[in-house]
Amino acid sequence: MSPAIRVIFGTVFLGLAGFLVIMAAQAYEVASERTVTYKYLSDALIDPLATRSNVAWIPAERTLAREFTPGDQNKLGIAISEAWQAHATAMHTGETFLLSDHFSGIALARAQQSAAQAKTDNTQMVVLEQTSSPFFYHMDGSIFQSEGDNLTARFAIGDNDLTAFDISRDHVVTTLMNETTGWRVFSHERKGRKVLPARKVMASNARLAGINYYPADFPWRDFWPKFDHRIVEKDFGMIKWLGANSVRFFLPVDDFTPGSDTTQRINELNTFLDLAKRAGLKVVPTLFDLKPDYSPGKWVRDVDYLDSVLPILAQSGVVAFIDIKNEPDLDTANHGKALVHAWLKTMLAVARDKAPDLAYTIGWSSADAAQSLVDEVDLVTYHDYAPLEQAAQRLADLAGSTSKPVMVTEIGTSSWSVAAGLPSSESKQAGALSARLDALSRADGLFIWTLHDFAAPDRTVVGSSPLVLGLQSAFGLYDRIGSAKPSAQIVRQNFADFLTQVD
Amino acid sequence: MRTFLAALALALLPSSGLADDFVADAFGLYPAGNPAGERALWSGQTELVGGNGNGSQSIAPQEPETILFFLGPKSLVAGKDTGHAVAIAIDRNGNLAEDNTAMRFVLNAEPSTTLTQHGIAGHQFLASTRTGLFFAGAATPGRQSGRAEFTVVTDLTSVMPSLKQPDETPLLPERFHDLVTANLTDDFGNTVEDGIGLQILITHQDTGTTVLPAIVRDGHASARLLTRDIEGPGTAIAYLGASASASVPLDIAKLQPAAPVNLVAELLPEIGSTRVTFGPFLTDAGFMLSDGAQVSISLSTAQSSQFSAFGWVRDGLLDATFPVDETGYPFTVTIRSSLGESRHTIVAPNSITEPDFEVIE
Repeated sequence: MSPAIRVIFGTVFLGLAGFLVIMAAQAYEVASERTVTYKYLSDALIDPLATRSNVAWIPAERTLAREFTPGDQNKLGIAISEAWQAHATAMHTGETFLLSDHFSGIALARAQQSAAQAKTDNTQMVVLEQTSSPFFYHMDGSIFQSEGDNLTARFAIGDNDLTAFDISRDHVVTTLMNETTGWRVFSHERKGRKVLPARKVMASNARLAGINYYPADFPWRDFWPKFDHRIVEKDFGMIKWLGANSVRFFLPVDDFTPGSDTTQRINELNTFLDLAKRAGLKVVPTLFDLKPDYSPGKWVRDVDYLDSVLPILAQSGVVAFIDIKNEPDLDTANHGKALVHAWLKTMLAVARDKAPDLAYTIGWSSADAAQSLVDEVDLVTYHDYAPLEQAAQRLADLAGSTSKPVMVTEIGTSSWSVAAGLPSSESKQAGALSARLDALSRADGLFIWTLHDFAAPDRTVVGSSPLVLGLQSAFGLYDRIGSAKPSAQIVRQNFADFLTQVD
Repeated sequence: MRTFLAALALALLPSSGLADDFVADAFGLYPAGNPAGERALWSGQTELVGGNGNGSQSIAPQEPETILFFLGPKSLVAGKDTGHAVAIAIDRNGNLAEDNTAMRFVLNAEPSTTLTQHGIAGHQFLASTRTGLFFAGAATPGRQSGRAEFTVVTDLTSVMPSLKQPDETPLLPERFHDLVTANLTDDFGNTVEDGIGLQILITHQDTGTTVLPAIVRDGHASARLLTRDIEGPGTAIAYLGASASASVPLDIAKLQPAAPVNLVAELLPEIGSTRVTFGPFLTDAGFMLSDGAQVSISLSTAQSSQFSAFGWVRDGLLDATFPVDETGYPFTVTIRSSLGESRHTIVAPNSITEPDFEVIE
């Protein structure tokens, strides 16, 4: 057989093999799909773990007829919190039957009417957190009234876009009755409103050259449960060798939302930040990672999450800026663009209210998506895995549309090879990365995905397709045994130039 | 022309993605252009949200139309407990009444007026010294609440029970006797309510105790005592909660036999024994000793042989068999029971006791 025929035969064979691999992967992915069946509708609609009070009680300003005990604070706080979560869920789903468990009398009629109307008009209200003071308490414990402030988001959706959005502190008076099956909201009136102060922090002009970070053996969901400060410290040394001055990392909702045991996670986060400080690295925490849905009834848990992580980040002194969500534009297909945008605006407003001295951005998956909500962020960030040819133009177009800093917080190429340098190789990776770094050299920040190759990419995150798993396993600048690939030297050289570059 | 077109463009093009006006109220958003119906009458602050609007409005409640009245606790101790009467004033649209709406409370025949705050007016009051069922309510000019009931009950802690001496002394055995207290009243002269429970504790000479539950009816408590197996002197005390009466002497007479116990001796020559039937054990109360009443028997034969037996009465009788043949006659039998002790002599078999017997005690 002639060499030419051998080459043709080999190419056809490899192509056929690749096609079969792809088909098998897709079949495996379909077979791996799971559905969840709920026995009770209320389990499907409301997170059963969400029965916590989000009411912060302040002492009564007048004498009450009955002592307001810590037990009362908890019971009434839960009753009020659950009522507004049920209301938000009823508005979102149109299912108003749950409201009678939490409202009665005047408030029940109003909650049912407003929820039904909201479903028709495509509007939504979410009470995010509450500060309340007891105003009246019947001597026999049957009637309770509080006065306080509710942090409330309201928005309307039309043509898959937000047509109205408002977030404010409502001054409210809420009356509850202690009925046979527990406390219910009997009356709720809004007496006043305060707009949140508009606080925007201009992001620093300092250039950032950074690495997106997971340890080699514990990426994605395994990172925090298997946190090892020695590994992090060693990896930070490698990041410093690469010439980076920052690291982007991820805080999954499941690990940092109170209700699970977050004490250890918080301690580990403190350790991580301390290690970054010692290594002279700035950090870009990416919040709400792996958040499963945007149901308004669960936004109150997202506020709990912010209460859990923001104080630590704010006082660490090493945060360059906060990335409020990784690639939320990819969630719009399943959840709707308007709902995702409403959630982003709400969480940014709440985060700024809690930690006003930090800068915030949204980690969009593309330059196109980053055209959205520019007014809401302090700097514009996006990820660039799109074809290289237009990379510089994409950056230029975006930077030209805003006066805010523009950073590309994920770029990368896989070096995964099946055979004969297909689909990629370490040298191809180095070449592709070098070209993209050059194309994006005018950005205000550049972050590489990622430091290490992964032996076991998280299937729950990237999927079970062998092709995708293969690709995701080899984006690192260091291979599985910790040796620097050619791309590591490229990045080191490029970062040195990037950080000393004068425009 | 260019200026006109620019102005027209500004007017037509939305300045942002948020274009529609909505009204924000306590329960969410609704389109400003749509008729809101009754929702526009919900009191409180509203404002326009959206493209063009930023006006706010405060909607005031109307005059109260409904007064909801709550009173608790429902049962108050006379002269001691504090009750809490509460009225919630609501207008025809379900809004809480304006602050400082005058609310007149009627209870204890002493009207009083307070002002509402956030729709609620409250009045705390001391319970009357007189017990009974009372009615209360609240009213604003032109509107009144429904009627609520509450009771004022006696102050049991101030009641001192007193047990009456039984008319009969001593109390006859095997009979029902009623132990009764004097009238029970509190410091304010209120009679204790029917159904209140007391305890009467009787301590006997053998340090045993009898506990009788007593129930109050028509102002006094009574308990029924059956004088069985508790003979002798004792003392009785009535307890109402932590309060105790003075002790009252309580003598219970001993049970007496109505007649000497009969004995029938039957010789059983086949086994060289004699079966003796004792009884009936008849009491002066008119009935026999109950089944299971213990009897002990001692027998002494003509040859000075001694035998003893224990038994239980059944249907008023007791049978016992002794190894006594015809040579053991005559023999003497001593019987001990709750009716006392008696001694009998059996002269010959198959004979009924001769009247020649001796009751020892």
